[in-house]
Amino acid sequence: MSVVDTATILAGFADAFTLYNLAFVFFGVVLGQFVGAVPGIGPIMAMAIAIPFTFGLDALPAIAFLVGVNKGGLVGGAVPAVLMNTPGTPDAAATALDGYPLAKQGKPLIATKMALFSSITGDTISDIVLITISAPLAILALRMGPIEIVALMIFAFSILAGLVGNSLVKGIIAATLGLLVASVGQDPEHFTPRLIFGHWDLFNGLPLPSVAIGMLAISELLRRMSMAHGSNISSAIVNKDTANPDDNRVTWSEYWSCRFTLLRVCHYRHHLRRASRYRVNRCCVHVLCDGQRFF
Amino acid sequence: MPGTVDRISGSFFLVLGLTLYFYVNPTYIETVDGGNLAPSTFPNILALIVAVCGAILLFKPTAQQAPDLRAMFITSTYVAMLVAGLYAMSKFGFEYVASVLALTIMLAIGERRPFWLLLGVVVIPALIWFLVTVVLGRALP
Repeated sequence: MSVVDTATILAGFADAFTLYNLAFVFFGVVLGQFVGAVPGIGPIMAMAIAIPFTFGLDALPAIAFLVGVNKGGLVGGAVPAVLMNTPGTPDAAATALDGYPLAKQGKPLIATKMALFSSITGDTISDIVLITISAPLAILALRMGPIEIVALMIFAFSILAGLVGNSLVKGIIAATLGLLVASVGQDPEHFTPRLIFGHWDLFNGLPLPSVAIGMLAISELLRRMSMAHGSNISSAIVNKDTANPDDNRVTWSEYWSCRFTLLRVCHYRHHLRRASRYRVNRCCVHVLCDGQRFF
Repeated sequence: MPGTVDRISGSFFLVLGLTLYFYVNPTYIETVDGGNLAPSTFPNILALIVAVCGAILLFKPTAQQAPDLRAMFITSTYVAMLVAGLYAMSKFGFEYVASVLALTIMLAIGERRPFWLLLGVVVIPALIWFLVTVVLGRALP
């Protein structure tokens, strides 16, 4: 039996690429981008809001709409990451590390468009991988045991090598505090509550969006508020007024120069995330750190 | 004075680590019989690492310069305002406190434009209330 059932795939394309379904994808992407751009309200919540509106639809346009919301939400998360150094979704954390400095240089459009193109590239490759080699990867995932998971966690901590900065001790403190926060909730061996201080809402651990907003958005807000004290309120990002259109768009050569980075993110995402629970934002930060060290 | 900030933060993390190890973890983590790892083992290790790293920072600080004291004071003031606002929300409710908190902060940072004040004080809190309470059906504090 062939791994890729071409006839089924073609039939799926024929069903999907109707004007009616594409219109729902379009509306979903627009809605998702708006919602994803609000820090704290990610694509999952946007889909939760949108689900009641799909009850009156057929299955295919309903799913197309929800997929559009999800994809749009992921792209929308990059907008505040680039413009305000505040990721709209945890997945956009790495976007803030590179996109915000570029926006500060007066190139917010380039940064936002590059985030969009990267997202489209990643999603397209992701879909191809999903269709073609998901089944073998699922078999690999089922074979992963505690030893492999520990190895993967050690691999995750290698991110610190890229983010630790000038002081190793401070990096270790930051990582340890992160682990301490992650240990809040249910003890994995005895299933007893740990460091929840009587708040049973914390039994499943601290929600990642809350932690991401607290760590990244609140600190940035406080920094801006302290800087804006008095009458020097100005726009966070100023778009460079330039006569050269290349300053406001991503050229093909710029996009092509990022091909290896994009492929590495895709590689990390597919082989680590599908085989385990390695998160997308961690993959992105990993590649970003590698890039800063080796390129 | 170079290193002062590291000494202060090092002292903080030393005290934090020791407090976690000797008070917080024994008090707020349940003890169980049996098993390979007690629930407090991992947090205790982390607490000790924090304490040791804090001690290293305290006794061997880097040459980091202290940030602007005025900026630190302003930031601390905003943190205090936010904490007070959150406490007030838990007591009186989001509907009554959010607008007052937004107005206070916007005035404090020097915002005087009526449009932005109206947006921040009336429209945004109302939108949050509508989205969370009406659309999502969740409770606000």
